[in-house]
Amino acid sequence: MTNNTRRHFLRRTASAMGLMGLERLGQMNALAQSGPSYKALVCVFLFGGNDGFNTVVPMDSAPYNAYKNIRGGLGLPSTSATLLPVTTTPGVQYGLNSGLQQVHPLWAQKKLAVIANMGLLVQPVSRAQYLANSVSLPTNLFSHSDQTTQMQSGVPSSGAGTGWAGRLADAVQAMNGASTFPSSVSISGPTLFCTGNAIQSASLIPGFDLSLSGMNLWPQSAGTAKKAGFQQMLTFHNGLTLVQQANKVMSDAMSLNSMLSGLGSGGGITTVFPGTSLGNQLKDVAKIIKLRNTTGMTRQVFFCSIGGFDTHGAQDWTHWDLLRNVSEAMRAFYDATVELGIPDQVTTFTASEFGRTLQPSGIGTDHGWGSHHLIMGGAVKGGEMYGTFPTYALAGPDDSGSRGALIPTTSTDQFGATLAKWFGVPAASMASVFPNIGNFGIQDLGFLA
Amino acid sequence: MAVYHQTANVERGASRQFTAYVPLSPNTIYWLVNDVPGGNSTVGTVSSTGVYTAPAAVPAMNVVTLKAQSTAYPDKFATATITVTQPVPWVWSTYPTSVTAGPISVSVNGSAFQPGAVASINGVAMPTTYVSTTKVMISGTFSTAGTFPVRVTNTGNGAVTSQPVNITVAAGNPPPTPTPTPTPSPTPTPTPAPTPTPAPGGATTRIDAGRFLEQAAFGPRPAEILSVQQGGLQAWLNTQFALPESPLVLPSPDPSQMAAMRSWWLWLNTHAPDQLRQKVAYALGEIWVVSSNKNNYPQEILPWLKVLSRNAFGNYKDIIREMTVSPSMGKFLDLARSSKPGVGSGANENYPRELMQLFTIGLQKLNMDGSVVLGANGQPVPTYTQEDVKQLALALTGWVYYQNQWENFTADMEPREQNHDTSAKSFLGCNLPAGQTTTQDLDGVVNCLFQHPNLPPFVAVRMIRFLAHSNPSPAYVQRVANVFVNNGSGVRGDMKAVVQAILLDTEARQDTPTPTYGKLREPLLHYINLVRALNGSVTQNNGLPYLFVNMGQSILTTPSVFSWFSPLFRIPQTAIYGPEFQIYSPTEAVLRTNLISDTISGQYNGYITLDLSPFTAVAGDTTQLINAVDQALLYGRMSATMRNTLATAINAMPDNNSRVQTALYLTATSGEYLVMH
Repeated sequence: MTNNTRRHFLRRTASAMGLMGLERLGQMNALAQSGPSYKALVCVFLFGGNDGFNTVVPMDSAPYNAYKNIRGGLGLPSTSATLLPVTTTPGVQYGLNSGLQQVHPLWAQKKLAVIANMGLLVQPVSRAQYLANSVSLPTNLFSHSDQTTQMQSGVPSSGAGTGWAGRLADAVQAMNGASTFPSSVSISGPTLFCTGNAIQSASLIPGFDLSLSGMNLWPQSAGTAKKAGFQQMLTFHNGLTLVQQANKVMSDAMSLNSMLSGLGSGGGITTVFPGTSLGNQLKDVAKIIKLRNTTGMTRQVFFCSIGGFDTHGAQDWTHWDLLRNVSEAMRAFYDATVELGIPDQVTTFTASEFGRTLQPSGIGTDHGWGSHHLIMGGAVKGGEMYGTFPTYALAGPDDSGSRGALIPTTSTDQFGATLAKWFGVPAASMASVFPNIGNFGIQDLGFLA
Repeated sequence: MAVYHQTANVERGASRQFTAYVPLSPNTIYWLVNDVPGGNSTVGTVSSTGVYTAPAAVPAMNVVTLKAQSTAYPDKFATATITVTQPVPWVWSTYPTSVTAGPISVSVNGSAFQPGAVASINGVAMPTTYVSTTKVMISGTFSTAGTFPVRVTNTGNGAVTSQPVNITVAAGNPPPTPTPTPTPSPTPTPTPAPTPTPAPGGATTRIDAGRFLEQAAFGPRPAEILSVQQGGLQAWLNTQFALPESPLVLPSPDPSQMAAMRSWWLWLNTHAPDQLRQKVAYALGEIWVVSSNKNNYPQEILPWLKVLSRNAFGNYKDIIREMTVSPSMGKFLDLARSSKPGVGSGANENYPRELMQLFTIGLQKLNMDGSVVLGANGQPVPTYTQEDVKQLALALTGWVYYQNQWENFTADMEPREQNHDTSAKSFLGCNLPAGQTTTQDLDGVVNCLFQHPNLPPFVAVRMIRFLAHSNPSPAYVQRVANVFVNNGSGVRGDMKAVVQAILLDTEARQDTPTPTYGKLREPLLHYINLVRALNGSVTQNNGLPYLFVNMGQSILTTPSVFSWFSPLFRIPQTAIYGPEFQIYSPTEAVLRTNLISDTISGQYNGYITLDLSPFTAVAGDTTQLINAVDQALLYGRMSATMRNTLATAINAMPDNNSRVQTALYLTATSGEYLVMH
């Protein structure tokens, strides 16, 4: 059988199952399973603009002194946050914010790396070019709404109706074969990040297993009849393609509901997650990954988020607490991928609309640009600092102005393209995911095996 | 007083029981048909107990009014509206069930066929011979391969069409060269000749009236269906065009609360008398987007809403101009304080780019029928280059907020000549001479875009998709685009004429859908449509808007300038357009279904009131209950299979309340209702 007739065969078999169509999705894809092994990308978006400069601190004496001089009272170590030492292979010393205690051991295990001073760029920009406004720049730098949209769309030079995760999923759509489970899934409400041109993005709400309301009637037989009627109607075909498609989406929802509820109360995951919003989101990601053999998906992108990083004031304790929250959830998620036996097939990374100014304003920081971010997973060539670590100097070579809103030394496009290559996006399709990638020389930053 | 059922279809010669509710003393009444006591043989008769018997022949005016008149109080009465139809035909099967494209001969078996019945395949009427009440014969030519619906229409006044059965048409000779992977054709499926519908000038059917109000309004209220049925579409449009604009105001008591504005928006569109204007404004607002994700306060949103509403029946040229200088748009896309190079941060390209891409001409050159122009290399031809964006941006420099304040949303932006670039500009084949003022350059930009050949099909495709249906035929697009070019009096861009052309087009009015027909209701339309169909009301300060956030349609808050969904989105892995499907995935689908369940069961009673009395009145009778729900939501088109499923579920319910709720829930969440068609 060719692939195509095989799919047709499966489709016919599935529709012949009639009311058993509830399990349609699962059975179909269990049969259809073949091809590439599973891979997932998981974005943990830090809304508000994370202060990467207090997330990872250079510890060699010259850069540390530069950092401490500029940061003053906000510089680490401080009373609320000390630093957890890490060393790169060449022997450069850094300190992780002590809020990152849970993921800290992964550095030594080579499962955790940092990308330095990454951010949105249309093309490489020097300080002189920036000040002369002589090259294309992201529009509305330092604006939350604009930079959040751009960081999710991955197109800082113009607007876009799709996100880079969605376009990533578009580019590898063929790898998912006939599976109809959405390949680009937000666990944090519908997002631009997950919207694609061809694939249908989806969102999941942590803890919501897509159960229908209003089905618990007395006597129980009434509820059963009502639900049976609802499900039966999904099988009717009145000849209209759009009606059929609407019924298909709801049938998929019912299949997903039975899969999710079938996992039981713990979601079939033994690893204990923190009971935080981000913990619950990442636990849901682990559940969906656990279902990969049932859904038949081989490539999935996930979006999770946590807010509160716009630390204009009271930063020290707040920031430590936010990072603790992130690291506890991320570590539990890593452990869950080990439990599921696929730590090398899941790569998790943080992103944020921008970084913050090196120079504090009182006991907080203002909107910046480039920032350091975490990359975690078994495929990560961990224990290293990737990209180019910037010079910490106000009005220095990497400063866009005089307050230390640093011009990124690595673009989001380069970072994303490295993830995309690992994910299986062919080089020829890279520009469809990151339209500006051609403006940058290096497209693989080398942090993934 | 009230008469149940308020509306009904009765086949000619058939009878139906009506009941009057008379809370008067004495409660004696008598019945009239079209104001004739007891009726007559032309309009039908009514007994003293309310049994209406339709005339043997469908009357010329097939919508009649049944009146219950109090004998004691001459000014007390109640009415119901009855549509007299031909007998409803049923199609059970065809023989054979598959044929080869070309000359075909098919017998169609069923029941209640009448002499003169016409069979159609995929909406195309075929030469038909009447054999008996259970059989008609098709003999003719059908040359398209595929699987198509076969229907039988009992023709004549009050014509009725059956539910379909499918027939498979195999490709004829010579067989096409086998291709390994059939690539979906990018062109929309051609739509066959539409079923003739009554002229828009006069009375129309319940189906047509209901469908029309789904397109032209936020869905019909029961009484509006009747009024459109009787007065016709044109009369309704004329009334709507003449209505005063609903006031658009900041929320009170706290005008800074965006949440209050969202809830007001839901109330406004559920209740506004000027439904057509608000619906068109809503559609225009899916093209010209401003979002509270950046314009965080109601005062920053309101000017944008006013431009949309004010110009809904105006000229597209005014929309281009007014949006460009609107402080809402000035903030959202940064035209405010965009300056010549060297002043501030220079010329901002954000608005100029979206002005072309999303608001007026799009990325690719279009033919008048909406299809993409292909260049010599077989590829689409771009409408503009980055250089055009730069030049347009220079032309639009110089606009600042009112009185050059930091931000001001109380008046349009104003020109500030020292910020304006006065060099000559050239873009899209238009040239602006050097030395012009800010306003003169704006005029040049507006004229250039307004005269661009892409504008008519660009607007036509989007407005058809947002108002009528997702897969318009090229001919439909072209008809509407032609009206955009010339409203008949030589005026270009007349939106009143464009809206009318969209809504009265034969393709919008075909009551028998073709396979690609229809439009998935997006969450807000689905919900408001349902509330209105159940004659419901929403409070002004309701707590409902947050429920739509996780369905992907946060009110007044699109994720970006690309709106909630793209008008160019196709159903994955097909060539079929389905813009609203971009935000319809499993979670969104279940959330929507659950919202409807919770609403019908009264969980939002503090915010929403629904009138379920027409259903509770017949709750004990399964058939009557299904009829009532069918009439209210599907205008009598519920399929036989769906009726059977509904009946089984309803009959399993322990009480009348849950019978009503189950009937409404299953219908309002069904694919047949989700997709307006």
